[in-house]
Amino acid sequence: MDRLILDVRSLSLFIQTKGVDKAIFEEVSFCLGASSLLAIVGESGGGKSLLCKSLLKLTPANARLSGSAVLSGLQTPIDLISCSDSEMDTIRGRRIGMIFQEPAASMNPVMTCGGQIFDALPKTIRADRHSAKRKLAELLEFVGFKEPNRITRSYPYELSGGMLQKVATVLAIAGEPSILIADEPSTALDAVNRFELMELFQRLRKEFGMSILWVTHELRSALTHADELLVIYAGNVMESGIAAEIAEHPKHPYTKALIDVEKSFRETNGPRPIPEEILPAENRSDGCVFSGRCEFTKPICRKENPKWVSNESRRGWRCHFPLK
Amino acid sequence: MWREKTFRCGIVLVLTILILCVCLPWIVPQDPYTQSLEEISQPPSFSHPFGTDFFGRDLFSRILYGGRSSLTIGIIVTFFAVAIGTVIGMISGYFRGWIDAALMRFVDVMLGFPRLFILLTVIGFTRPSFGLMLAVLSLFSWMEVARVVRAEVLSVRERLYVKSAVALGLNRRRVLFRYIFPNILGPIIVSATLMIGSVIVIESGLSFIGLGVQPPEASWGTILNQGFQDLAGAWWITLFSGLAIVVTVIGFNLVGDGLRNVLDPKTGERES
Amino acid sequence: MSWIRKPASGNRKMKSNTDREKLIEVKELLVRYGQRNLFRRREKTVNAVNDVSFFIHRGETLALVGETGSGKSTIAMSILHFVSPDSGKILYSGEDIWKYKLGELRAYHRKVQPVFQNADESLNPRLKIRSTLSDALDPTLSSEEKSLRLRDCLSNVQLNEDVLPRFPHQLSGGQKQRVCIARALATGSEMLVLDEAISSQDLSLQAHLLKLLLELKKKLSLTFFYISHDLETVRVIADRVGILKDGRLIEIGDKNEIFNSPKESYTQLLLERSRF
Repeated sequence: MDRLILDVRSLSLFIQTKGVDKAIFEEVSFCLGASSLLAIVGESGGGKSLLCKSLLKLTPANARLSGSAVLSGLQTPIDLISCSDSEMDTIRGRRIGMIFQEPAASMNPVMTCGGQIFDALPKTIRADRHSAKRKLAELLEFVGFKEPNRITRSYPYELSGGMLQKVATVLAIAGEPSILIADEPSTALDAVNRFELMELFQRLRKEFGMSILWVTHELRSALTHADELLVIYAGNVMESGIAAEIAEHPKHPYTKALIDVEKSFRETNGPRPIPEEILPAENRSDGCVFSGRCEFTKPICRKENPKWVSNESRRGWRCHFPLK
Repeated sequence: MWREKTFRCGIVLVLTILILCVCLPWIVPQDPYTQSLEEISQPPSFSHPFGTDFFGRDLFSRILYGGRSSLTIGIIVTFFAVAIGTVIGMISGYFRGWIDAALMRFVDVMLGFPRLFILLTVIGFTRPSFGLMLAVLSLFSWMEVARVVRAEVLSVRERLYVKSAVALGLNRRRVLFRYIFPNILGPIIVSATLMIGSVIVIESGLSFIGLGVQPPEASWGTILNQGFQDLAGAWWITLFSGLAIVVTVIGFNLVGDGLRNVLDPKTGERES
Repeated sequence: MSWIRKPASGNRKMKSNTDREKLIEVKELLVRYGQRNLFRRREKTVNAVNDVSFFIHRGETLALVGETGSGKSTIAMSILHFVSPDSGKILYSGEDIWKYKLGELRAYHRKVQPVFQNADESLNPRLKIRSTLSDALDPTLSSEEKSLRLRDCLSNVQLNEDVLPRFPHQLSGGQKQRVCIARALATGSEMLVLDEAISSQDLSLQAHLLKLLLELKKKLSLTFFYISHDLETVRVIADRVGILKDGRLIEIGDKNEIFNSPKESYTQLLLERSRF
């Protein structure tokens, strides 16, 4: 892997509700290299979105973060968790960009797309109107628009979902960040737009050396296109490593279960979901969070939370009885 | 809701004032009407905590009585204004078409009339009275509420849960009162609490210029009026009546702000 | 074959039915949307749905596939009687639904129910689940019958009774979507219009819901109108598939025909992209 851009260690998020601390995700660790595509997969509610938002301090007011996330790269390294608000201001939109599931919700409905992109450009470029206009057109062409001037003049409501997501991507990369965080960007898009977004990601990686942190539940796409994979269940990382290896030999039962579900869509008997927890919710803080739904569960799985095991190639898993 | 700080402050203020004014007969130390020549214009003392006015009447008692008038007007006018406004707003927003157009033009016309001048004109034909002020203020304060309610109804009726309710074959009344009305309650309640404050200020203004509550009845506005006649000398009159108005209005506004924070579905009730 | 049907509400008499009857027939449907800019200067009319005709047989699942903005949701809304067509007809068992009077319309609504994409927004946030589901039941039933029916509804979608006293925000996404399905069935419906109800959920939940829907279809002899941009789920659930592009129905046929030997180039493109 190329040089390290983001080093996340033991990141945990707690939300305080009514005096009690509720863990959203715990002890999440991963590394993101330059030009690398890291996919974070797992079911809804597993904390994937909040994980991304934590990196940009976009968490709710009653949230408490612990751990570290060191951003390296061209400028001085900085810990995204412990840095001050003013330091974070220099990072958002400048060194890290983010796109969301609903592009329309993250754009100003009464401002033209061109106007919003202009605001997102770095100060130095904005200063000169001509170079700003040129950069705007360049960016729009880069993401695949054949008529950048028409897009510049349009308002968000005039564009389709796929086009908006591309504009949102321009907004995110206008500041020339080293990392793009994409939180389920293609969930609301159809197959053609999804394909174009994936192509865009590849171009960003090749031509800008951008690293991409991609949250998705499209397992097949993730296994095919991502370099590395992070499998999260109920706020805990269950498995991580090189995507191709995991696709071939998943070590964690949950990963295997997900892959099986995905395969079952194409079987004649129809989809086979992961069984739901039939047993009453026991005190999860003791045992493995997945033990209630795991087909290989043994008594020790309910009592003891398995430790994280990893080898030299940064392949890791958290299971008492890893597969194969 | 009770954890919301603004709400708590507001409720404390409002309840204190309400309780004081309601429990008047039992706690008022002196008769607010009794004049006493020896005690004219006394500064605050032990026997008269707020001092006395130009007729020797105990100011504290008069302020409490004044509170009754001011609060009554505030609450009653707001009640009617909100009731009328909500009904009109809901009909307008739900039925749309020509009903909506007609009602909204009616609102526009009503908004064109300045309340104060209407009141002055009406009073010009008769004598100023409490009831008159109540009626005129109620009839001319509902328009903002109607607009706000209509906007809310327009947005809520497009929500999927309202469409689903229509798809269940529920009749219009049910959809309106079970699916739309509970979900527009938030802004209505907030408008109402904020309106109480502004009506009290208007009443004070009217009484100040002599068009509202008439002597010997007291209201904060009339007391304030008196105080102005000797601003520097009998400073306590202006101070305490003015303070009463300010504290009450702030109290209601805080309650309104607090409620608005609580009822916002994203931050308030939903803590999951 | 015995028809397992829940009693109809309303006074409409249903015609006697045979297999392969056309439950819904859409004829030359045309729906226009006007587009105006912020100052209402330009007014551009766009044909959201352009001369679309197809039918849905009783007991089958017809899927409509297309990009966002292709008009699929508009067609669904027309069939659900929420968006009126500018021209064309929609027939239900031969009757024009846009000519219904109030009582007939209510009965129609209860027979053809929607399940929307966003379960969050489909449930009244101020009503408990019990109230939401009770609203769907036949109002003439007694309260014991209603409780029984509620229990049936929940067991159909594999939900526990403990969701009844809760509010929507206290349920998980999967539970909410299942409540929506339960509500749609509680009216005694015979057809469900599923507007992107599955595709935006995560994979595991998709599998749950698809399996549930397939079982329910068999058990209750339902007809499905399934709208989606996701070909994977369409492949699982559909019998026939129609492809929609820019408001026009460019191809329609048996699922296997469409997936294995598509005639139109756009269909081929869609299939290619989805395999990516």
